[in-house]
Amino acid sequence: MSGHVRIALLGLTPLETMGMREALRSTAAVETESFSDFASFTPLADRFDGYVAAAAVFVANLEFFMPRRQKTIIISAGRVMGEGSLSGDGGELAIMEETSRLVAELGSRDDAAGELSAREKEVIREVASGKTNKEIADGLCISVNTVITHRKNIASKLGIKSASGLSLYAMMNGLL
Amino acid sequence: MALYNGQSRLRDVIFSHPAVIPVINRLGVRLGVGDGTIADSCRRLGIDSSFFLAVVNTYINDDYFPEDGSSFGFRETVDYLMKTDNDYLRLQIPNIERHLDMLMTRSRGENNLYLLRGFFHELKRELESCIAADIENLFPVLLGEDRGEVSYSGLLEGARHEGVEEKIDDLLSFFVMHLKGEYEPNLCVAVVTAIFALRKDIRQNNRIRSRILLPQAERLFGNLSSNENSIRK
Repeated sequence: MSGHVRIALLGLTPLETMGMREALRSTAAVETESFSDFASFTPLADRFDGYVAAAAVFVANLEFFMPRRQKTIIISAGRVMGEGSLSGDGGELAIMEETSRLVAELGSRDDAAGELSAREKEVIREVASGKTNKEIADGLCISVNTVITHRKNIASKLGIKSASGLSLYAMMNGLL
Repeated sequence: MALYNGQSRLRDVIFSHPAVIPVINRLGVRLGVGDGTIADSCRRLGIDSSFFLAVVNTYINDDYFPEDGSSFGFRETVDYLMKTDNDYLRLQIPNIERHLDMLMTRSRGENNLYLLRGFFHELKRELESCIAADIENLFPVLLGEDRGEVSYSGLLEGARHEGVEEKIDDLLSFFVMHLKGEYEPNLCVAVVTAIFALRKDIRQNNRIRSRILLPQAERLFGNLSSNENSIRK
């Protein structure tokens, strides 16, 4: 499922659900499904790669979420409360950045071994064209942290970190 | 991993860690070390044994951090690193280049070796440029031979060859993971082995720069007034 990620939205308000869907739409190939309560989600839990949960849902279902906390973003009153690691001021920008980062990580984890996702190929092309991480982030409408996550995933799959190494890889594999 | 001390036998160090041979050569020890201890060998050859042990232990043991770099001189560290740079330029890079050229010549059929050779030449140019910066800026400043004022932080930033380390990792990945087509296998082993050896040397010597040279430099220049961000020579 190269680059395709399924995210469950759990117990979010309608406005949070709409905002999250919009944010994810611009991030990568992502499918979302929202659940107003945990009971309706439980039978389908295995279908999802990551979770965005209201704090109350998270706290009430710690047994489910704790082993999956690295794949979970917790939202409370429109702010990021936590996930694998807290960052930023917890506001809307932080929600978008954390969500993009989570999707980038999940997308990479689910790819077949060594296979690049469409987004990762896009990042390689941008690096090969000489752009900085900031320029790539602006061009692809994602955060710099997400670009860095993509580059880490690319390095882990290809063993190549340097810009000139990625340019050579792009040339060798017809990505340019 | 156990640390070596003055009473350790030099032959034991070499048998356990053959990669240390070029390192002890740079420190002034040649093979044919006999059965003597490190302290004996250093005394016989006029080498500062505390410096010898600091370099060898830092090179061998990733967790080792020399406790007291003030017991040996700055000049020894700089001399060692100058010899290291010289080894890269005169021995290791030409050795890789020679084997790579032979590999290209003797490999029949389609392959992507010419692209990898291009990347190697880029790495070579970057390493040469780092070494030129060492020779023209870093070492003269550290030895107090230069004139004028140089930014201390900028100088130390350039003291580590991190970009080279990253590129050499990439070059190895190209050979190990992305080599395509027909090639002469024995020569390819020779090329890859030589690149691995250079990578280990660069990585370990970057640790020597971080753990011995830079703390020495900080101690030496730390006496400058706190509002002075430059080294006066």
